[in-house]
Amino acid sequence: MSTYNDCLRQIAISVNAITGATPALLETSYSTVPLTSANFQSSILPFTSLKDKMLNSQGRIITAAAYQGDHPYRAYLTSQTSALTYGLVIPSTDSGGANQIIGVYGAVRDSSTGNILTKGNLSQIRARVANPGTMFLVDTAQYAIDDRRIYHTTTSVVIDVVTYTRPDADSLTLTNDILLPDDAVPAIVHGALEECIRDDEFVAQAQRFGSIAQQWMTTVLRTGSVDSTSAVMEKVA
Amino acid sequence: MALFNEVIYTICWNATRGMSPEQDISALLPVAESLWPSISQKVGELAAGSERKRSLLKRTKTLTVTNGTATLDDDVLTAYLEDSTLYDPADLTKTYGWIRNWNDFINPGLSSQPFANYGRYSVSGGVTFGQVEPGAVFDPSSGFTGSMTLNIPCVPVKPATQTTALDVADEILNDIYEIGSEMLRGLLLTQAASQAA
Repeated sequence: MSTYNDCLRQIAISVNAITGATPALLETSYSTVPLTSANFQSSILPFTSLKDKMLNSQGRIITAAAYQGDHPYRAYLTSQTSALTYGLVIPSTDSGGANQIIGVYGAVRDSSTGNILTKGNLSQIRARVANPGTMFLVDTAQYAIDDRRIYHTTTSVVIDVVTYTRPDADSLTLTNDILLPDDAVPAIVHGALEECIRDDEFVAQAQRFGSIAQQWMTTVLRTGSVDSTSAVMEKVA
Repeated sequence: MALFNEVIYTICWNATRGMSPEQDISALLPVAESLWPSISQKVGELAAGSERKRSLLKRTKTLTVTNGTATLDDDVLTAYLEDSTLYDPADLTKTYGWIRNWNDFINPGLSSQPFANYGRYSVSGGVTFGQVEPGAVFDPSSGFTGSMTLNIPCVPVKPATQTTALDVADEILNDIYEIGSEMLRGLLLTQAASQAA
């Protein structure tokens, strides 16, 4: 897995932020793992600001993937809600309570069997749950989400979700793995460089990197074409 | 024998033949189940209308008779009472004959010879069963009290749970699949046509 250090040194050298008056010294600084503020020389974009921009870029890709229901990147950030009974408000954090839920919801599953429920019509689900005169005997597995509440025909469900908590730039351990797979590194780097502007510095370069970043983003998000149950159900609905 | 949920699933799958694989079966299950009274009635009427199939619908009912009257279950096809057989499980030597007309049934003349060796039964108002013992005169205040057995064509009954087997012959089960899926398919095609319009 690629680390934050792998991304940061590529960002830093492109805005001439790494120390090294000679090629040998520059190489020494560039290959230092982990980089520290001592390896940085820019008075325009200091060490921590570059970490911030790197984390912004990573967050931007995560957000884009989170809003695409069948994107394979979701596997790196997946979590589940706590068990939800009929009519309960969908929480804003996962079952642990610490991680914020972002993006579109994934599969809705029976909390005891793990079976996936399909998206249904709220009035039908309400009738099935009311079951007047026990007219319905056959179990069904359907759910509907209206505003922030979930309604379903089983005892309780969990929702597969994407969670994301932005790492803190000040305390970031650069040898830690990034939150995405290796193929996201170029997108993170170019996305960060798109933000590397201060006053009139690096404006043209940022535009160029922004264009490349956009191509990477398009490529990365196009990978989310593998069909999944939730995606199919969205299309049906 | 097929479980009730198995029957409903089969109806749904059959109804969606040739349709998009994205058709959600889960959404159809309650629809198919809500159609059950109509499916059951249609299958029962069609089978009962066929002289060769009618016997396949026959089920044995235990009647709790009080002073010569009892209430028939809702699933009994009263239109086919002439194909029924009534007997006293405590005395199989007694014979009973079906009388279509209630006034004939209560006629005291049928209690004397040459009819006195036969008991008789009839139905009033579609659900009230009446029974007179051999040689007796109908008296709603002091008639026969006890348990009787009636073998009669009935519509297929929805069981108490989804995992209970449907109490029907296999030939009737096939009719249930066919009629049920066609009813549901009709709804689906109508819905699809309205969406396309």
